[in-house]
Amino acid sequence: MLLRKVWESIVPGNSSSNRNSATRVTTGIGSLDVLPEDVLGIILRKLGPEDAGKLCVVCRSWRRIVISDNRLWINFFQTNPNNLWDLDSIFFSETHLPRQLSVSVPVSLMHLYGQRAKVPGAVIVDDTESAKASRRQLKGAIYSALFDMNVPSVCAINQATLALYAARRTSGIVVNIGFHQTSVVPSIICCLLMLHHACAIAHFLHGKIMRKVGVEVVGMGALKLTGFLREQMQQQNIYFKSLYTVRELKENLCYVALDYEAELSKDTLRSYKVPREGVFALSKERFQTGEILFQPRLAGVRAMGLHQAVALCMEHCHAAELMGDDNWFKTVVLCGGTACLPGLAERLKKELHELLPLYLTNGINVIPPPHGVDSAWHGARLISNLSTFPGAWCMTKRQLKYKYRRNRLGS
Amino acid sequence: MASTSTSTLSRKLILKSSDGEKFEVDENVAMQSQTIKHMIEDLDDINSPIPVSIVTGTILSKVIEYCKKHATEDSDSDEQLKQWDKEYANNMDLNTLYYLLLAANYMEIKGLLELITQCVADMIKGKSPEEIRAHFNIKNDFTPQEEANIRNENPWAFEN
Repeated sequence: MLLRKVWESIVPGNSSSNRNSATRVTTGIGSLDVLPEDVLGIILRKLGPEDAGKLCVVCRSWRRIVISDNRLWINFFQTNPNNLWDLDSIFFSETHLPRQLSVSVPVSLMHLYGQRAKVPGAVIVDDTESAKASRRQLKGAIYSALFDMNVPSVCAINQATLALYAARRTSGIVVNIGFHQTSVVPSIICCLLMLHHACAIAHFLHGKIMRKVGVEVVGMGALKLTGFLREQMQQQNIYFKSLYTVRELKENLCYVALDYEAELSKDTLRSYKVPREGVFALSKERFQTGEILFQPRLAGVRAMGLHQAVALCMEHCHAAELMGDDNWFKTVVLCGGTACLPGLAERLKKELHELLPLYLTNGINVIPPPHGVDSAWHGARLISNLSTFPGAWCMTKRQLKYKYRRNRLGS
Repeated sequence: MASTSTSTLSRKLILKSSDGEKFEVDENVAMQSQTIKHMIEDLDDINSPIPVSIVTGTILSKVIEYCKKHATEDSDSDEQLKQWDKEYANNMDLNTLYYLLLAANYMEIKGLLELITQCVADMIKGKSPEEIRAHFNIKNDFTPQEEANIRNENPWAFEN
């Protein structure tokens, strides 16, 4: 009916001046006035993003049509040849991740598209809670990325934070089972994160993520697990060429038992073929290896178990009463390669239930690494896909130089 | 035409344009329009003229020209058909193109809609905003400041 209306307003074979004055009131895109918007949409699709974007400055009506056509931009997102962007994660990061600009402008999809078309900076993943020495290393890495690899800007973000993002969360406790150690990081509500990120590297390097509330570090990591498995295999005279073999067995055969004692009496023999090395058969070592996370003394380590560390962290968070909502810390996100051990999340949940009072365990949620070993990478991708990225997230050469100079003056 | 006579449905239909002009076409030619296809299904008397209410005689004759060409698909190779499409579209002035677009949209002729939208898109592609305004007779209703702002907001669209 609308179509007919439009049609009636135009006398067929009209003079163009006549038509323009008659119809500009409603749409005003000159001689394209006669076309219904769905036809214009088809034309826009054929134009591609750049030319469609260009139409925005032609006149108000085109601008309105181009910007408001969300399906058009979704289409451009999906067909972009350089990047297979995951729309879901783009929407998540845009709506949930901290925004550097305090004013929250409603973002059009076209705007997002334009942001994505920019060359992104690089995200360097920092190992959680690393010692000062490795922090210096990171500084060096940032420096070489900026100046040697000529990356436009660098953003250093804690691995735990990235894992949290990858799990589509903005607050919670992140259990990062790293190479050397395991850290339990209560990670923070959006606003706090924003502060950290805005101050870029400095604050991250100093591991200020809710340190006041309590970051628990357990001296137990992937390396210990592999070492433990190696010892077990040596004790049983299983020959292997290198530690890589052991690691591969760990990654493919090991798991975490829900009930350690019960598992001991089960038949758990399973074999795995390591390429170019042959077939290895393991039985109780399969779950004993992961068990040392919960019972470090099995490996002769004096440390608290993973569940105890998480519980402690939760109690601190609860006591700190940071937010009106005191449920944020009930989300526990696992990250790191070792956290991918099957059964770990279930076991941790069970142990927490046994350890903590009901008011703390009620509604607890343990999330296994959302994208396996690549959690941090996915989190980084979310950030780098953000429309405010690189912007205030990143440090550029000039900022880095300035910072160093200031540091030198300060010290 | 040999090809149309071999088809099982070679009934004739009469299409009537908005200004009363009548066109007799083979059913398989007219059936390329989804709209007409649905109309025929509801029609008792096949011999009465089918009104194509918003399309004028001039435009309708062009539409039928396209449909006829594409109804006899076996006579030409794809390459030849493409060439024909190109010439067909190139011979139209802007005004005719718009009305053809409207007609193709209203009559739901997918191929024709594709062809003409592509043709219009090609006119826009690679042109500067000023050229687009001139080509389509569009008045710039932004102030210079507004226009500069929009350009600054979307630098990616103006890189080349």
